[in-house]
Amino acid sequence: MHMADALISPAVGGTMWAASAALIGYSAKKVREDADEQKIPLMGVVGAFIFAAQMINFSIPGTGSSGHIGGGLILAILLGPYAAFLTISSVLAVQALFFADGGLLALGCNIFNMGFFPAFLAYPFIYKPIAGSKPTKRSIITASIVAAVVALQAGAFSVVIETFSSGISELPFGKFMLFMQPIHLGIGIVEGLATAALVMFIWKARPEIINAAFKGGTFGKVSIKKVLITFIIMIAITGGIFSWFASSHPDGLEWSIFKTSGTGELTTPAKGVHSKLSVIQKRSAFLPGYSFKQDKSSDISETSDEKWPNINAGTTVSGIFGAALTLIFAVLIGIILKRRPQKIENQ
Amino acid sequence: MSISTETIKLEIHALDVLSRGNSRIHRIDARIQLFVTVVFVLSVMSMSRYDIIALFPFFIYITAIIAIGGLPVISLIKKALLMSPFAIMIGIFNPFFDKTPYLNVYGLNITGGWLSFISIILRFFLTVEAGLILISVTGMYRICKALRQLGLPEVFVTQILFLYRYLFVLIEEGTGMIRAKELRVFNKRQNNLKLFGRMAGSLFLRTFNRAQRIYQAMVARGYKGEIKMLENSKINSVDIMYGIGWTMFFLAVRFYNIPVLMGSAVLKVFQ
Amino acid sequence: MSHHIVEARNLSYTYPDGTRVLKDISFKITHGESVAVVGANGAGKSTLLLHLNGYLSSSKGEVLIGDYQINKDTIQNIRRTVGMVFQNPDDQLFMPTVFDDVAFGPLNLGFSKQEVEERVNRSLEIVGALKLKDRPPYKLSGGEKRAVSIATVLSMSPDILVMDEPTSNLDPKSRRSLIGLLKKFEHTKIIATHDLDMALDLCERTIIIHEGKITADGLTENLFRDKELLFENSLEIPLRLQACPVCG
Repeated sequence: MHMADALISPAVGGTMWAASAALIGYSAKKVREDADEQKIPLMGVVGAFIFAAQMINFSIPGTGSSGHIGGGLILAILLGPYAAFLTISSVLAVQALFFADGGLLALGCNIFNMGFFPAFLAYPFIYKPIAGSKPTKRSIITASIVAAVVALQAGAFSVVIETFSSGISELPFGKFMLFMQPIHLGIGIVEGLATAALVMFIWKARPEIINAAFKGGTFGKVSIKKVLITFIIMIAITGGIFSWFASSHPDGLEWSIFKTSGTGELTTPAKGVHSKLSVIQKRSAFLPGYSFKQDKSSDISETSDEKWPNINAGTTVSGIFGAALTLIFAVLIGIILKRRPQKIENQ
Repeated sequence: MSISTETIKLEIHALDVLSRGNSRIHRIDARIQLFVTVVFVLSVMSMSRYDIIALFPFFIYITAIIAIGGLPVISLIKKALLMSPFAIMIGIFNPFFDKTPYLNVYGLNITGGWLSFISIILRFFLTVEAGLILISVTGMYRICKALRQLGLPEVFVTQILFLYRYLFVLIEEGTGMIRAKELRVFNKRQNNLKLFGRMAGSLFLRTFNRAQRIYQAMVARGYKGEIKMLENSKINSVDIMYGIGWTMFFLAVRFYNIPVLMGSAVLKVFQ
Repeated sequence: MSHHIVEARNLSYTYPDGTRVLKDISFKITHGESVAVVGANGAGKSTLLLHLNGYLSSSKGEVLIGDYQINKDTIQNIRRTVGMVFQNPDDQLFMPTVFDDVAFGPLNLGFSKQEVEERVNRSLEIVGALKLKDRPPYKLSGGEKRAVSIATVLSMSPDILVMDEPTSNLDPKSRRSLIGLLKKFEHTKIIATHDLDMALDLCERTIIIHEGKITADGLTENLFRDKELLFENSLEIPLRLQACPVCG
């Protein structure tokens, strides 16, 4: 469920980046305070382990397909929440940079969706109480499945909210949710089973590792409170920005009313964005450069609208012509600047 | 999604080699590269969701950097395609939900949904390529140093570096394990959960022990909780010009529909 | 420190799980000596080495480096004095480039940028790896990794070099050139190894450890000719000292 840059708006991407960056800063501080220097190389190497472990497939009971672990929850169980959050963040950063899995600005969303929920929600509030300090096979399995399902449901819901708030996808909120949540219920159960299998093995071989994460000063009662408060503040800020954004960009709601009421024709009330839009729509249909979304939102695009060339019948033609020119120009630049491609040496 | 061992090795290796190139682009400070990429992605993302032609000038940036940096075009495109399913999956719904007719071409109605779908695909391609290009001309190492110089927590940045350093080593170990298992378990390509737990679990324990040995090696060389590195890159005037140049270009593309302006200007001459 | 003595006095070590790995170890190594520590797997060699730079500290007995006992106040200085090269170069080389790895120690010692760069260049020069400076470790061959591993401690200008299995996983040629390199060093050397031929080449003195105890300590040549002693310690006479089966 890696979000892509193409599906989110800068406001959503920016907000989620701010939230994730704050959590990274806070977690880094916590790990530092912990003064367990040994954790620093451990976190990095365990991040690499997640990649390697994802190569090990397993058959999903009762189906013909195979799965692999995602990582957030298992990291929290093995390293404790703060170190786990930093580790999953770095895993996602490497995935984004090297495998183009999730974009640079969507990385904030991805870190939040796949790091925050398992590390700060599912692990402390679900896994820990269910598994207990002296876990049994049964409690490990129950705790892992419930925690994984909750983490993935929350993550999937977060994807829905982010996508919806960005207003780039036309998927209606409810339908998108009905699409995402059940899929992630399945994924969550599989993830839970795999996590349980892994945890049980390690619990038998080296219980002290899991105990250290469980007890360790890393997650006292005070810090849970702090994390919760941080979370609430974050939600408030996020919500605030979202609603401000939504009010200044009446895209989702108004747009759909606009559409369904069939007023997209010339007969739109002569005032406001609708008329403007329909004028542009009529004249430059193929070049719907500036929808009413921006007309309202920023002054700059307002002025750019004023500067919009006086569109005549030939606009479409000139648009297509210009587009072709631009592309030719882009290719020409490529050819002119081209160096000999570097050979990839095989060492 | 699961990425095969070979892919990971080849991809990282290839990008690593690319990032060690010595073109004019490679010599630009990584912080500036990062900044330009962020401005690029923000500009692309903030375009209207129906923009198609207005997005075209952004390709100039992509082709220019690919050309100057001597980057392999085909493999960059392949990588983007490999990751496109999610964006396509979400975007493909747009034509079904947004049926407002936008344009009528010879009796064929093109709806807003199709426009925004195509726009999503273009944005996807642009932003993904921008990210891949960034890492191709800087490399993980310089990016991490840049992030550190920009003030990201040292703990976070160093463990990205550790992750990157040990990715190969661990993937090698994991591959060895999978191979050893396949030699012993016949006719069974997949493992049951228990076997998965045992394999991933022992891989984890090995990792854990390795981390301990690395820590010993660090302590032996005077590690006291902070990993120090020499910060040797400095931003010079060329870097600043590079940053300002592209930023201005992106802003111009963002706020003016350059293809339309260009097209009508050229047509006017001919009229 | 003018005379870099390494001394262990009645050193014993028990792992947290109760296994006793070192039992009453005592020895004294003086300046410029080159000593091999040999013994079967699990004899306690690596545990002993970890005591020499204070990574492990024992409940019983003590270690002295120079005239100093290892404790909190002396530990940083001792870690500079005792350069420790670990068995697996992949654990030793944890930084993203050769340069950063060799600079890691000097930076921790707080040297200036210029001094650090000088030290990096000098150390890489000594081990013949200057051209590898900007490479990432995964692009080094086994022999190159070894050389760089040694450079990472040389840059801290240690007086004593402690090495764990320096020749393991090396092809014959790299092994040979490593031995040549180590021969040139005038440091006090303590080398834990299974490679008795290398020990013969490099170390005039050998300490044999068996099940956590010192079972022999003397001239390498003499010890390695003692078939019975070696057999008792799960070792065997190095090839070079074995009678040639062809020529008798």
